[in-house]
Amino acid sequence: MIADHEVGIGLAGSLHPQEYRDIAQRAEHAGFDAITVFGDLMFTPPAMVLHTMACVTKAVRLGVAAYSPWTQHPVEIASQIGYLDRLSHGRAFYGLVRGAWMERLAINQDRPLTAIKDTVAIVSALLAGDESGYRGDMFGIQAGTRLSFEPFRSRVPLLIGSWSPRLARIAAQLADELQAGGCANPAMVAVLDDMVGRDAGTRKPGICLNAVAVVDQERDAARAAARTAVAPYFDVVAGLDPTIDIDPELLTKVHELCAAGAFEEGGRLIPDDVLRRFAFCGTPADVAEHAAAVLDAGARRVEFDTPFGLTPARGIELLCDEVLGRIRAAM
Amino acid sequence: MSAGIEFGVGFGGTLPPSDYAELAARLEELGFGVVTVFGDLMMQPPALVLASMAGATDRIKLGVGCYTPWTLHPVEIAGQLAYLDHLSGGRAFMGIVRGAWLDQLFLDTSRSLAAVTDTVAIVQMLLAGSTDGYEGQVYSVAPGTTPMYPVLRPRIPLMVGTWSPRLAEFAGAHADQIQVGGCANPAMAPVVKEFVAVGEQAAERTPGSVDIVLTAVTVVDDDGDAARARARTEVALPFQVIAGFDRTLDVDPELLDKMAALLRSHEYEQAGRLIPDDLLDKFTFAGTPEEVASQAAAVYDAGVRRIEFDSPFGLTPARGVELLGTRVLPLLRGAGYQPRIS
Repeated sequence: MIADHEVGIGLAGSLHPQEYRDIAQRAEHAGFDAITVFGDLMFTPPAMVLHTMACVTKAVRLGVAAYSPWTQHPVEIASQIGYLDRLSHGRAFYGLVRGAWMERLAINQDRPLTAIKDTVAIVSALLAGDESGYRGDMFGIQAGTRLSFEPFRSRVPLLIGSWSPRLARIAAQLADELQAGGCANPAMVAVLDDMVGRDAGTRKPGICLNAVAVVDQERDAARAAARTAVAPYFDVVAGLDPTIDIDPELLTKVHELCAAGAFEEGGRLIPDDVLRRFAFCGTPADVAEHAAAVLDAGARRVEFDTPFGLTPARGIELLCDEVLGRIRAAM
Repeated sequence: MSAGIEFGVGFGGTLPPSDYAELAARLEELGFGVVTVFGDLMMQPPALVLASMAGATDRIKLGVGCYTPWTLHPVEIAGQLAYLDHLSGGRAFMGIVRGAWLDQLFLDTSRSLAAVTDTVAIVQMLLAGSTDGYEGQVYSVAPGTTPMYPVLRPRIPLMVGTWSPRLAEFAGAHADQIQVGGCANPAMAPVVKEFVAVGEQAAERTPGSVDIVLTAVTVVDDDGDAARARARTEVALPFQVIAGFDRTLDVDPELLDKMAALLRSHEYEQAGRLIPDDLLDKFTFAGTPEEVASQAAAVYDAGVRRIEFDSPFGLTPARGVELLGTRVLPLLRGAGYQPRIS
């Protein structure tokens, strides 16, 4: 069951299996509602990481956030998420995104909406045991195709990750959550809600904001680290947020510095008030207040993403011990 | 050959995930050295099933048997394997086949050899930490693309599953093992060895570098006839396709036609009944423990490094695994078929 609002953490698969066990147990014990693992190119496939986490937890929801439909066929997604859902006794959810960096694989991404629609249709049919077949423009399954094992639930919650109005409209029809990745701006909740609003039926998807989080007792140090972490994709996400007006010259400068590998220098150019729209950073009280503002604005889930702190372990500790309780108290 | 062999089992993932740890621990206890999990279309993802087994075991090797190059991009395969290898402390291996039944997904698999070649090259390149990139006919990776995850072994053993001379030649050049799926026929071993030798020679590898693995439906029971009857039903569907691949046999086309007609109407038991006893032995390990041990001995004698006894194992899977482990393997060990120490 999804609570009224949720607080989660998100990370990319770059660690050893034992580290995931520790993080998952720590986060669940602290009371986090969800853990997501990103599916970015060249990181450990999220289903593998979540398998490890599912084995050592009992309550926390576990999300693949997200699959891109380009590197795995929808039947693989269905069987992975079906397995995870069974393993975790119904705690799995999965996300779909257009996917980035696919040019590194010489993959043509001309038709992302079609790919996502086909993927949702096939995954949904297979989990539901619908054997009528599906013929999409990109992916299909013949009639009679079914999973060789019984899924735990006939429907696993779907998250669509996008800032784009077109994909948001698809989310309105198909998804349980719409997530704007890299966004920590409470004002975006209403924008995203509007995007889905017009087309949503009775089952309106919840809005999730997730962004880089750096928590430390030293506010300035946390902000500095967050700047460096946000810099590489700042020019992309900043351009997607219609609620703020950022000098295009600043975006170009940050982009150029990052392209040259100067992330710290690029990050230093991001002003404090702008940084707050794209990262949760500062002292535990700062971050808790910020997250509460996002939830207050109507988000169903707020998610703190790596690096969490000046070191990931210290960040997780502070999120668990100092931040989560404050958010709960504020809500 | 009697020493340095391997005992394996293979199955497709259909069980509840919580069952795998216990099964894996028992297999290891019984003395099996290898477990492979099939990657057939619509089965549970083998890497996840093996992840469930890794934590409950210490020694048994864990193989994805096999990936096809069509539903997962090589970068996904590399990531799964690297993680599984870590989870298991370096016990993972990768199998790859052309893939079957992919028409069910409307996929064009006409360039399967190229897809297999690209997949193997990319997986090996990424795990080795090379930044060279790879430009293939089906899959490519740009230079500078490297894993963001930890890699335990820069090379994970490779098994190629095939009956085809071309892919066997590829295995000869690139693989550690070649797996002939659905085969229990000792006479196939020298045939496959010859195919593989072409690739070994071309790649200037030592002859015999590639181990031969035979894998087939297995049904063991004290009631040998009941075991064979069950094996007939189980093998009917694959037999109808595979029988034609075995160059050492001359299978009556009329028999295959008759079986095809019955299979189309899902009459597996009846189709299976048409398979004569002597042919059944070439495609399954079926009978009493003594009969299966003697069949297996003949296969090992032909130069096969590993037999994978495939599901359903027995009249019930649990009973079959126990009979294999407590009766068949001891008979083989007693006759001098000793597993190699890894």
